[in-house]
Amino acid sequence: MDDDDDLRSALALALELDGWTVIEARDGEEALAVAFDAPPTVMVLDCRMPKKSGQEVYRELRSAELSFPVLLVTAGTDVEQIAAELGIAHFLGKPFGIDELNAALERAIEPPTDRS
Amino acid sequence: MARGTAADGAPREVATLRAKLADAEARLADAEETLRAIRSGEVDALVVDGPDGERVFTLVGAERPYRILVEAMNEGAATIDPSGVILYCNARFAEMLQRTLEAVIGSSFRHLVSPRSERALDALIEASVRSGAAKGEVSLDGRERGELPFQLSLCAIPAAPGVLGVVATDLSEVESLRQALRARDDFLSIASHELKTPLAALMLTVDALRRVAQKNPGLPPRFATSLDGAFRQASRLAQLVNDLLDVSRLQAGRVELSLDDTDLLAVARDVVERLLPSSQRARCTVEVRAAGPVLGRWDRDRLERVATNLVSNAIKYGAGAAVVVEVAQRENAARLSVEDHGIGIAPEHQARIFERLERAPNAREFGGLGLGLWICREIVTLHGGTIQVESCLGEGARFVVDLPTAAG
Repeated sequence: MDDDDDLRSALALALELDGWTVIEARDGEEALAVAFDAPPTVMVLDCRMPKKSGQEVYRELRSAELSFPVLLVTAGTDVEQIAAELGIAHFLGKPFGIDELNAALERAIEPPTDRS
Repeated sequence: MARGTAADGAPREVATLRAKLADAEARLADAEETLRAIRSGEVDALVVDGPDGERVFTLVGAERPYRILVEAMNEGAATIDPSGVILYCNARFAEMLQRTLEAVIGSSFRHLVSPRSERALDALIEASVRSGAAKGEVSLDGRERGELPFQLSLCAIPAAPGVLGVVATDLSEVESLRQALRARDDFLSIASHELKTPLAALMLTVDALRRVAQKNPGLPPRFATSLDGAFRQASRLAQLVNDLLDVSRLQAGRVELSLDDTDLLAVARDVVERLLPSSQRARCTVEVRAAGPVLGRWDRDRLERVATNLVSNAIKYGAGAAVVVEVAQRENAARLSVEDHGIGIAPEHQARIFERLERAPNAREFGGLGLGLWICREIVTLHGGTIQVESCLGEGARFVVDLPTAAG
């Protein structure tokens, strides 16, 4: 989910090359509609989007008890703070290559380990 | 000749000497008391018995050099009583506030501060009366110059009980420099942020295309190598943008560490693996040595930045010779060292290379902003650690990072 057409398209290309089926959304409302319609295996969610921000989308998903993993991406410097506030364990700061994207996605979808 | 004897049996000369000594001691004590009184400001004038009769010496002469000094100061200087009435001020103070001396002397200091600074002024006066000295920033009314930021240093004057000395420093220039720095940092931050989204799209697209090219042997070889080159350049651009952003955040003190259980060895291995294409291009090997995992509470991403900068530098300046990365557990601390055998750094430049935008002269032909080591030092310092370099010109360099296992 990203409002930048080129970035969204690049993300989709990179993920499809790795065998993912990608459903795109260009703003927060579309992202929610897609998620409610068919919950994905994992959602790549941009923080700054029109209509509804990534944070709002995440809160609405969780309050609707949709618990699929979310990978938060942003160009902002406060990605860690936003992730901590929302309780999202997995985030990625722009820019990134496919290796970093894949590694972050793997971490996001693997079952949580005990980090005592 | 008979010698006289005093009542206590001592020779008379001795008694005379004793009397003279006692007299000299008394006069010395008297002189010391006079000096003490002069020093503490209790004496306004001295009456001296001379051959021409009594003469009065006032201490105006002694005060004069200080008066000249105070009048020549670039700062404003004033004396006030505890109620804030200005008893004296130098010409500079009146000039700074676009007033005449007559208008300032005798008026209340409170009339010179802007309404929002009145409480700050009261607090400063109260603190200096209570503890002898106080310092703080207030804004003063500079008439046509508008509200002006000033630093006031107040002190009690022991020679004049109930009088406070005030030195007023105009911070307008300092403030405009501060604003310029803030504007620069904000611009860097916004510009870097705005560069990141297009850069992310570019990197992902080029990365995807080069992977497609790698899987298509039918394409001309130059096609795949060109895409690899484009990806490297985009990654380099991303690194520069991140460096600029880090500088503005570190400079503004806006970096908070995200501490987590971290294995320094895993960090080093990941970084070396990620930099494999660079080391292969430089035709050098990068070996990681460690006895086992080295655990601590650190900010993993930021330590990755440190390791990436150090290993990249070792590859860049290492003249193709082997690079050794060593991770070791020490008592309550961990050590990461990165050693190359390249151009080295002359001793006189070793401290400077950790400063912002500084680079050793022999490194300038290699390109770069000169920010990497400064960022490393800032990140390591935030963790409570240290970074040092050992090097001889032409013989390579060894960078050593020591980190407490529990940062902060």
